[in-house]
Amino acid sequence: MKMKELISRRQVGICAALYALGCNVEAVGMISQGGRDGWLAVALAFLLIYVYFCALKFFPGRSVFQIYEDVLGKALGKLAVVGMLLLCLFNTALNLSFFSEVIGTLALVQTPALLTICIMAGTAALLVKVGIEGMARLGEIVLWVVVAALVFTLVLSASQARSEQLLPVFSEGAAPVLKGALNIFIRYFGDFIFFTAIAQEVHERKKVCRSILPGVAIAGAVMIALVARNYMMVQYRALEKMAFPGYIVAGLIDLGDFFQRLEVLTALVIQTTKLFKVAVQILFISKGMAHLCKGEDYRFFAGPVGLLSGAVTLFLCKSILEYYEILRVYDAAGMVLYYALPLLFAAAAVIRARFIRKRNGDLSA
Amino acid sequence: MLIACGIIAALLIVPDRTRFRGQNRAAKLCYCALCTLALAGLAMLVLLPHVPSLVEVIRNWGQ
Repeated sequence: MKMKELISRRQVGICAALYALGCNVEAVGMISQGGRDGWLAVALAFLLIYVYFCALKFFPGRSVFQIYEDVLGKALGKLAVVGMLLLCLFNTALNLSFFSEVIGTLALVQTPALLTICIMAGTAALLVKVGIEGMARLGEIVLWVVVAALVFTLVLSASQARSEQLLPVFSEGAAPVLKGALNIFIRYFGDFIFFTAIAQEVHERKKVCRSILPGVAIAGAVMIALVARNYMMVQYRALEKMAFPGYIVAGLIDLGDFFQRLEVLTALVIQTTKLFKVAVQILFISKGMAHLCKGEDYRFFAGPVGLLSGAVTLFLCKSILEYYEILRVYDAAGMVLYYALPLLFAAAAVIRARFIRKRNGDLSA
Repeated sequence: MLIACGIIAALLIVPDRTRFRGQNRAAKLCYCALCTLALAGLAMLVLLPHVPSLVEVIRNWGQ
């Protein structure tokens, strides 16, 4: 029996917001590649997501796997799908690795990484087994908790924020901002292509772009505000040296004895959004496997895919320093896979569409 | 830790019997290959004293 799952446009928007928040840009170190204006780089990177989804408009209602086969033909398309699944597995492993580093460094220092990764991957796989509709319903509840927690820390840190630290804007020129935006997009937002696993299940397929954009806008606004808050509370040179700036800056909020250890809220957000992001990526791989094997039920693959991503994570890196080292390798791969390939596909799609139109015109004449 | 990981792995990969029967042969084979790969990877990490990470492999590539 073919799986029929439909979610509303609102639910897709909510899932997109959670997925975007799962990038945890505010919590990841080295965000200051944009120099003094790193927060502007994040804003620009969010604009790039919009451009990305506008490109997906060319193929309404088609999954990435179908697009590849449409454009490249069956054999090459399948090869591209395998490459995409491997990239997604690598990305999932990176996300799981970040999660395990957060847990291992900040909370459960003695707990072995194997256990935290297995539990995280297992939970994400079970979430996928529930199905897209279940994930969307969970997202409806979780998003408001996450946004409320982030806005709460944002408001409470307002008294300690010094807006003059953001000024002067563009003091080092536009080049570092553009470079930072490109880096941030490749590292954190380029994997939005995996979100098509959920986006293709939207009730009104033609309006998928319009459904996703409000969610991304909410997440973008919250995240830009958080990154700007980090810049306003700590000098950007110090931010560059922090492994988890969002968490540490939230810990600096001082409201006397009334509120203590507000960084716990940031940890809650990291865990929840990362879990959701990993679940969507496992869903993408499971759907890809089902597509390759002509299987009808993607949930069938969720368990082993979750376990495999856990195993790959443990091979990937063993410390936070290695995590940042592997990101450099990922940048090079991301440049090809998130920019060069989609551009190539868009060009191929346009040429193919023209060719088909011309052939149809010749036949009718 | 071993027992905990074993339980999680078992929960994830022991399939629902009716769901397994409903799949085609390619899907069943793919499922088994994925399980084998994942379990072999995890077993290697648990049983071997030192498994080099990808970063270490890249670092030592030229040496």
